Amino acid sequence: MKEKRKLIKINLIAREVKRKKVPSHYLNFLPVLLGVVLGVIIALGMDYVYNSRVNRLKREVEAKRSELKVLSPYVKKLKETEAKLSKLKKMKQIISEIIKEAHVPLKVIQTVEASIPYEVWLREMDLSGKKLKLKGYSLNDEKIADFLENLSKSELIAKVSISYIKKVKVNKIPVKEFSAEVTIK
Amino acid sequence: MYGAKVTFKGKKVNDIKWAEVRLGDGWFEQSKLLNLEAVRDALADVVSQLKVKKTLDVVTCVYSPVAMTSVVNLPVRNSKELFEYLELEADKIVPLPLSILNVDYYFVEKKKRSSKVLLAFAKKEIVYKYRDLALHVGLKLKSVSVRCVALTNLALYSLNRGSIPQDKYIFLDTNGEVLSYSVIDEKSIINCRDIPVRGVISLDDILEFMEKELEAYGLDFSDFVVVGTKRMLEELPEYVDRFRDLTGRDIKKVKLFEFVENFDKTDPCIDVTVGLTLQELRK
Repeated sequence: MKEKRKLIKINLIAREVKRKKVPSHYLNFLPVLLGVVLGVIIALGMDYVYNSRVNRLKREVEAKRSELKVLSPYVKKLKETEAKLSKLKKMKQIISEIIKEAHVPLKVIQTVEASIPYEVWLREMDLSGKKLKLKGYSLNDEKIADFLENLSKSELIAKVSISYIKKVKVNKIPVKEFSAEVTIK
Repeated sequence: MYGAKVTFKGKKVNDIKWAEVRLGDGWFEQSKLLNLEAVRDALADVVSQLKVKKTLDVVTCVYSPVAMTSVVNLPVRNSKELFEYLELEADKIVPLPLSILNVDYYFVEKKKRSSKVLLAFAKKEIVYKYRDLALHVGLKLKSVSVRCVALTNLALYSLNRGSIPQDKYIFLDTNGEVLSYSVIDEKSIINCRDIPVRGVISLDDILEFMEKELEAYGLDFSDFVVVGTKRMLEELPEYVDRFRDLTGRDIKKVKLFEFVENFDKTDPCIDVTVGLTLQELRK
């Protein structure tokens, strides 16, 4: 006799699914699942750390901006003061130069006076800028040489050169006339 | 609304009485009972006509989109193991969260390491609404099945009794809302489904789906005899013609009530009701 087919009993009023389970063979994938979960946690952690850092830097930037906003009037004043100071420094330098230049002729005279030996007389002294032209007399050549050497040793003088030495008579007395050019530092 | 009172003699159906109450259109749409009051009144009328004792077992069925079924092969051997797969399988079958569904299952075949299981899901909200409706007329709803499962039981019962020749069948039936089909081979059910016929799904789509599904089971559609109930042939004549065009075969008429000696009605839904009731015979 042929086996009878069983009828199907389905009753949807009886059963609700109230819990959820992971199929046991899915446990084979547990290491992979854990790896993925771990990876996600690490990624989320790193994301959290970087986000925290970014947020902290943003807060710092914001704080600095606020600070800058508060300080900006003072910064403006500081810049103005610095500009004034710079201007004053330039003015001071100019004045110093002027004062320095104003003292040069006096210093030149003092230097020449200190360098000139006995038996040497100056007839002309012409100071123009950094150039000083000297003309004078001496009884002999040696005294002229001593004079020029003394000048060259001075800190004020950069260079000394003789233009000429020649024999002349002054009140019928034979003397040596000289001309020299001196460069002031 | 149709109601049937089925009486048994032993495990055989002895008599069927039925009652019908017209509800009109629009009482049920898109899985919602739109006019609960009218449904309650109709049910009360049906119960009154059938003279149903309040101690009788009351059963009914639901269908797509309220309920969905699928026969699946799973690596399980018992209910406990199956329970662990329910949510995963529900995700594949039903586009709804399991939390709003009631579920039941039937082990069609148990193998060494796996089983063929019929899974059925239904929206609990609707199931409980039917239960409340039954309570309203003083009855206790004992069982809620699925239409295609009921059709399957009716077919299996007919095959077991020899009122239908032994063969591999695809049974088709309709209630005007869904086309219920049940695929049965020499041993048992292959699959069963309810597919809405008022939507955009054509017979071409349904046949293509059936063929692919049978292929997945390693079966050939052409090996199955396609049979339809009287209502299916009358309500969906375009399906009959289209089936002939597509396959060169006819949907043969099947009588699923010949086992009931004094039954001469051709009520459109009673076949389902009988099939549904038959499942209670297993007890």
